[in-house]
Amino acid sequence: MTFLNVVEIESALIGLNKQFPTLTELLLLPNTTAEGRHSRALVIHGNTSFKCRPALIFVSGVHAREWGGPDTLVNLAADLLEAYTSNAGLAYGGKVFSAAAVRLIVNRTDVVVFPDINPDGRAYSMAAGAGSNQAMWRKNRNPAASGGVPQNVGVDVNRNYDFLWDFPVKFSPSANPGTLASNNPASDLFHGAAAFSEPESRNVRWLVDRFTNARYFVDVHSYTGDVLYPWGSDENQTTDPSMSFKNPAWDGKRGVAGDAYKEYVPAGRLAELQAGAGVIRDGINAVRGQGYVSNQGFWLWSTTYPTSGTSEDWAFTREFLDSKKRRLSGFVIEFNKQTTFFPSWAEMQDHIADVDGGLLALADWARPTIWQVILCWFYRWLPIDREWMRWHRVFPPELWGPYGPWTRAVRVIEDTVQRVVDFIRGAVTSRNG
Amino acid sequence: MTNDQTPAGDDGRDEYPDDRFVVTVVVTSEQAADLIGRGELDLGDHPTFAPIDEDRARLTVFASRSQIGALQSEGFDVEVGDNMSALGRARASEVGQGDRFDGGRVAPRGIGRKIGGRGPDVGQVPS
Repeated sequence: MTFLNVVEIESALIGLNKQFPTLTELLLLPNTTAEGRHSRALVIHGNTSFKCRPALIFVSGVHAREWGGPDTLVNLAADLLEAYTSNAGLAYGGKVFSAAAVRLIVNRTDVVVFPDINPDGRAYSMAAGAGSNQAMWRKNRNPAASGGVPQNVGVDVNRNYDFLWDFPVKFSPSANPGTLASNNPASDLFHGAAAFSEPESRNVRWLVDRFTNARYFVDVHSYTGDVLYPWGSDENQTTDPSMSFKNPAWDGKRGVAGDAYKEYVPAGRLAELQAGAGVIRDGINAVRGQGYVSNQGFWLWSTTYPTSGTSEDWAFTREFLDSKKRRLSGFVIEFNKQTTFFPSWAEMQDHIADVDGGLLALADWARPTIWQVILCWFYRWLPIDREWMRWHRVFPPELWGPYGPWTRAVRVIEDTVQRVVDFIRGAVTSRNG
Repeated sequence: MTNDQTPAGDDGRDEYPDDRFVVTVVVTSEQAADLIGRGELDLGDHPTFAPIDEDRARLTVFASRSQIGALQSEGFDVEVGDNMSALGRARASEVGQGDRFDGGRVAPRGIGRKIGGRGPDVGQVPS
C-alpha cells in the first residue's frame, strides 16, 4: 500500500458509494479548484427515516504537505461500511467498537467525510522530484495574487474562512503576526483576497451549510499530537457575551494574552468543547497510548498562537451569528507526535488507526440514545409545540447532551442490552447451524 | 518556496540550497514570541515546544541553511536535524501511481480489524 494520490481519493469515494449504495450518498462539491479539479464528499447513513440524527463532518487535506489526512478519512469510511455490513465490531489497536456500537453509529448519525479539501496542493506536494522543495508546499495553487512569481502562488485555505478574517483590523498590533495570517502572497499564511475567496474553503462552507443537523466538525491536520478546540483568537472567557468576535468595539484589541480582551464562550458550550476534545483525545490514546493532549488552540507553551480565518473557529461561530442554527462544535486533530509531515506508509497506518479511533470515539459519543430516538418520534408525530420541544431548551446539554450523565447512563444500558441480544442471536445461529 | 520550476528527476544529490531542515532552537518565552512573530520561519502547522526548565524550551522550526546560519549568528543554540525537503522527495516513492480503484470500479478496504460478524457478507445491508 501507499499514500493515496488525488485521483485515487476521489475514486475511492466513488467506489465506496457503488459498493454501498443504500448506505452512502456521494456529494460532488460545487466549486472547482484553480487547476480544475473536482472534490467529493461521502455521507454514511444507515437509517434516513430517523430524522433527529446528528451529522459529524470530518474534513482533511487542507494543507498540501500534511499527507496522511485524506488517507485517514477514506479508511474510516471503508472500515465503518465494511464492519456495518458484516455485522462486525471494529478495532484499532486497543480501541474497540462493538458491532452494536458500529450499528448504532451508522443508523443514528450522518458521518460525512470530505477527505481532500485541497487537491491541487496535494498533487503539487506529492510530485516532488530532485531539486524540488515542493513537497513542503502548504497552500492551494491559486495563482491570482502571484504576479507570475512562482513562490507567490497559493492561499492558505485555513486562514481564508470567515472568522476575524481581516486580521489587521480585528487584532491588536501586539498580537503575534507570525501566526495570525499574512497579506503577503509569498507567505505560507497568506489569507487570500477576501474571506471565502477560495473554492476550497467555499466547498467546506457548502458542505456544512448542507447539513443543518451538523453538530461536530473535525479538521484533520498534522503534526504534533494535539486535539485543539476554539477559540484560536484569544483566551476564552464565559462571563461577558459582549466581548466577542461579533463586536466591532473590540476591533484592534484581540489576540494578546493577559489583557482586557478575551473571547466569549458560554460556560455550557466550553464544557462541551472540552469534553468533545477529551473524547477524541482519549479515543486516540486508547489505540496505542501515544499521549495526545487536548488544548485550546490559542495556547502554545508559555506563549500564544493566535489565529484568524481557521475552519474550526468558523464552524463554531455559526450558532453565535444565527440562533436558528444548531450548535456545531469545531475541533482540529494534529496527528503524529513525530516532527514530520511525511511518515513512511508503514508508520502512516499507525496514525490512521490513531485518528480513526479518535473520530469513531466521537461518533460513538454523539450518537443519540434510544431515549432520544423515542423523543424524536414524539417530536415528529405528537401535536405539541415544536418550539417547546427544542432540545437545548427542554434538555440542557449539560445533563442530556452527548456528554451529560443521563446520556452516559442510558448509553451504558443500551449497549449492554445490545450485547446481550447479539450474544443470544449468535448462540441461536450456532445451534441452528 | 522556490525551485518549483525545477524538473523532477534523480540527479543523485541529497541536498539543494532551499531545502528545509528540522531545527530545534533553545528559546526563552520572549525569544519564542519574537521568533514566531517575525513570520520568517516555517513553524509547521502548530509549533512544538519541548520544555527544558521553567524559563526555556526547544522550539522546532523548519529552516534553510541560510536561515540556520542567521539564527546561529544571533546567538541561538541551534540543533539541526533531518532534511525535511529531502524526506518529502524520498517519500514521493510511497505515493500511489495511477488509480488503484479504477475510477470507482473497485472500493478500498479499511485497515481496521473487524471483530466477529459475517465476513463474506461485506457489502450486504443487514436485515
